[in-house]
Amino acid sequence: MRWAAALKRRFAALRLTERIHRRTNFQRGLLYIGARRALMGGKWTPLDYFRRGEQGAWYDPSDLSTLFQDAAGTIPVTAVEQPVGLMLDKSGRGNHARQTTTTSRPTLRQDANGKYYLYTDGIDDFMVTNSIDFTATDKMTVICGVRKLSNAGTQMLAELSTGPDIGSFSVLSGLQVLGDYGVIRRASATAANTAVPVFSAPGTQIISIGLNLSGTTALTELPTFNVNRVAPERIETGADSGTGNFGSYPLYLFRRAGTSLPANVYFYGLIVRGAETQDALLNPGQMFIAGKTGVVL
Amino acid sequence: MNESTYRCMIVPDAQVVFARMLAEAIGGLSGAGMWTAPLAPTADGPATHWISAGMISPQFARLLPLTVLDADGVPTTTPGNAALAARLALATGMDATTDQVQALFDSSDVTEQDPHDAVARLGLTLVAQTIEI
Repeated sequence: MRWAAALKRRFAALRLTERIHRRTNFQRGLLYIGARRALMGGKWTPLDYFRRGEQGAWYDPSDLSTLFQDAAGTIPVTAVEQPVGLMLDKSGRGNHARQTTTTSRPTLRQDANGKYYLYTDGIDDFMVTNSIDFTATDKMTVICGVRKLSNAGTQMLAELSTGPDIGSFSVLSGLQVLGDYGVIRRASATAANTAVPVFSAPGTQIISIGLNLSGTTALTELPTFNVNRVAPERIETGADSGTGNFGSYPLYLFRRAGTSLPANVYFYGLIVRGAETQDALLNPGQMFIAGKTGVVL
Repeated sequence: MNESTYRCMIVPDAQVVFARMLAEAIGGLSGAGMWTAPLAPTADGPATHWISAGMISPQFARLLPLTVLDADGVPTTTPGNAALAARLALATGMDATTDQVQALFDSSDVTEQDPHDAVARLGLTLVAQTIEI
């Protein structure tokens, strides 16, 4: 049958791809995705994380077509050193990040390797979305690429809601000790938080987090917490933050509620996906964000 | 194309409410929400000053004084236009006099410095903000 012959040829091509790329374990995730995409004839992008209707957002400062100087989106960003008042969400969910106050807008810059990033001054820069409705899920995946410039103070990187509200999460530096990375989550009971040891500044990291609010232990509630694809030793405060789904809240970037805990970072990209992402599918997202930062994983 | 210009603006605590109102009156939505980062001689606070740093419109920049520091750190200040700023504020319904605006300008530190450098130059630091978990 002709379809069987075509399928046989496709699988033969995949086996060739396997031989070429079967060098390290971590590329198997890429292999799975690459194989699937090879069958489909496309290239993997974070858009794949949202093809089944998952709620979330994907921000990519390297794509200047998604950046505008004003919050209304009438003045495009065309060069570095221009302020960013609107950063479009590339996931297709319309969860764009805005900043109406001119002095609180991050600035587009380019690093020594030619990588674009948003510079946040650690004073008053932040961006915020409209409320994002995550009430249909108790699972969350967050992948963020940042260069931390300083370990001074607690610095909020991304937070759903204005604080530790029910159904929220927070990703930050300086949670338990200055320079660490931490995650706060709160399902219904008291918020629980997890930190991993200090990372020196300046330094560039890819932070990957997987949350499952139905978990009853710290490990099952936060099954994934790695930095540059390494899972550091964790320091847990509180095990189970309760049960329930995430809420419908604005997503704040770089500052809690736009009023405190400012981050002083180079922001290279963020993916927030209202779903669980297994390792094999997490890998390409981490590789993608790493590519935006120049970090080699 | 919008040609924003950078300013680092530090105002004393006694003037911050007026400064916020003035910026919002003149700048509208883009001027609202300024000066939300507290400064003090020590991280414990309380706030003695407030800072706002970033890109502003050239029209707003022309209203403000500007202090330029030479290589030795000697300042030269170009005065702002307090009278025009007061008129613009009045036109929006805000009660502001030229003297009030001038007093704000005289007590403020407006430069093109990196905010962390400006804060350090004034012997201040960001007030530490504890995280609620």
